[in-house]
Amino acid sequence: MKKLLIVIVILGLNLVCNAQQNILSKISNPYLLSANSLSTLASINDYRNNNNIYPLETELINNKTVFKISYKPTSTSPAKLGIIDISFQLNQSGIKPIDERLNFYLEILQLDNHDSDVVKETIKSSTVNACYLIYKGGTSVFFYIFSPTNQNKIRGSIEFKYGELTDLQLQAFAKDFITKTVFK
Amino acid sequence: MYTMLPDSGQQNSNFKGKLLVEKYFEGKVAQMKIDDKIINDRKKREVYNIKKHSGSGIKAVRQQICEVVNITKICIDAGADQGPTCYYETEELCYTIDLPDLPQLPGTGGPVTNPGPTDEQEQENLREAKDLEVHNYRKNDCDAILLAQRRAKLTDLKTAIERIKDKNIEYINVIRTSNKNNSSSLIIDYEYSNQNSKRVTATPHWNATNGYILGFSHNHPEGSAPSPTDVFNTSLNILEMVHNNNITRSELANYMNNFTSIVVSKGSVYTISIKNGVGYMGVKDSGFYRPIDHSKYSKLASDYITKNNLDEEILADRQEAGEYAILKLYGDIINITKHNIGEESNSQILKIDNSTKKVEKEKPC
Repeated sequence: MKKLLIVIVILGLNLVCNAQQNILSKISNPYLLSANSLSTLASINDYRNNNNIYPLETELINNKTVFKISYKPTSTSPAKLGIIDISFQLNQSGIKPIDERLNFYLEILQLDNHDSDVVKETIKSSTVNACYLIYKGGTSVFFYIFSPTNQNKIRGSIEFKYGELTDLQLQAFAKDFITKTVFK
Repeated sequence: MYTMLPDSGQQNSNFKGKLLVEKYFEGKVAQMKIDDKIINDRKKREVYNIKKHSGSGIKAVRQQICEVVNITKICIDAGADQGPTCYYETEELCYTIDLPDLPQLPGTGGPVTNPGPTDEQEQENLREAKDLEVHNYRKNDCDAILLAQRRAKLTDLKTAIERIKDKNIEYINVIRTSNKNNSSSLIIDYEYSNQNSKRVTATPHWNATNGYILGFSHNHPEGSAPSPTDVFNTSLNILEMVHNNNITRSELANYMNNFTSIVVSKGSVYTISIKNGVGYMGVKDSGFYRPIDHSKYSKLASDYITKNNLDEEILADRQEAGEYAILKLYGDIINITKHNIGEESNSQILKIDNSTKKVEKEKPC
């Protein structure tokens, strides 16, 4: 009976840990290492606390994956530690002109900010069609990346502690991250 | 004029202390406490969340530039065979630039019809009375619904909403009162847009020259829910109103009771009003920092979309995610109602359901 209970508990924990989406089965990106995934609320918030990345998460959300991430703004600078939320979604709206789609998502992200208050850009290549936005003076990058073939998309955000990266460094990281993404 | 008075024992890379802000020629001095503002290795940064310490109430967002400058060249003779070794003695200098103009204190921009009490004790009594007004200010769901419906019945506002609802850039209407002590006679100014931006900026005022502005109505062309800017950039600073001796208690009560920020978004009308006086005053005064609050908002909306498998390209999904984000951030201090354009008696209060964690719309009265 005791062994049975232990097995049930282990299975239960396993289910909790696997509740997050396995994004690495959908895309690859050298910044995303399976060893760096954070699969429990406690581990996410411990990491956030340890690296002064706020606010903390209040719940574990299915359908997305959370990773520890690191970025070196220059080859000689120390690695800056951040956290990324990323989720994959099948295209639910059919194939649309990609420029229209990217601009639409940027409009959503921009909120009531003037163009001068944000950094935003679209990136199109053979492997991705994407857009990202940074609120100037903030700590985060928000991005959408579409597969050029079927317009399935991933959305996500990357956060660092306040003051860790400049707007320009965040921008450089966003571009590097996006261009290194490959849909499987 | 700005005077920085550092606390003792601070490091060169930090500034902790007081900032005196003096209004030239008017003899007004505000003193603010600055803390936790680390001057790091970034050459340029924004200082934010400068907290009021005392005085007439001025909150500033400003930039500091820090740079390392060479002060003196020092050369040491290391010996005849090696020649002198020289280095520069450096010093980090920090100075402030781009401080915005001192914000015009509400009520001081135009002819002063009520100069306010001159006796110091009377001024203190007035401030205490207004402080009490703010602390006692609470509005429930029905209060918010009734206020939204009063606005929905305004003929001039309805007409203005019809004009701006399908614009592909933002337009804004000012809602002002001709009587600063009540809202029985509201005036809707003709809408305007921003020539240099798709987004429009609200400029609140409370004086005879610029008007006694009780709120704004503007459109969201992309059909999104209200954003943090719609909550805070449309209103006056309540703490400044408390400290402004030219503003009476009844004016303050009139403002808080009737302030609305209305967002017209693809067929829907959102009406934001103040729910909790102290909470709203505090966040407006020192807790709102645009890039951080917008980041929080966008992440909450994104998580809501992901969690509930919604799609931003569907209008209802997009609005629901934004509603969740704004309620999650500020639901304790503001009320938000929603009705369809043209409806006058069907406003619903927006809530986050405790069990499902989803946005619910209720009409309890």
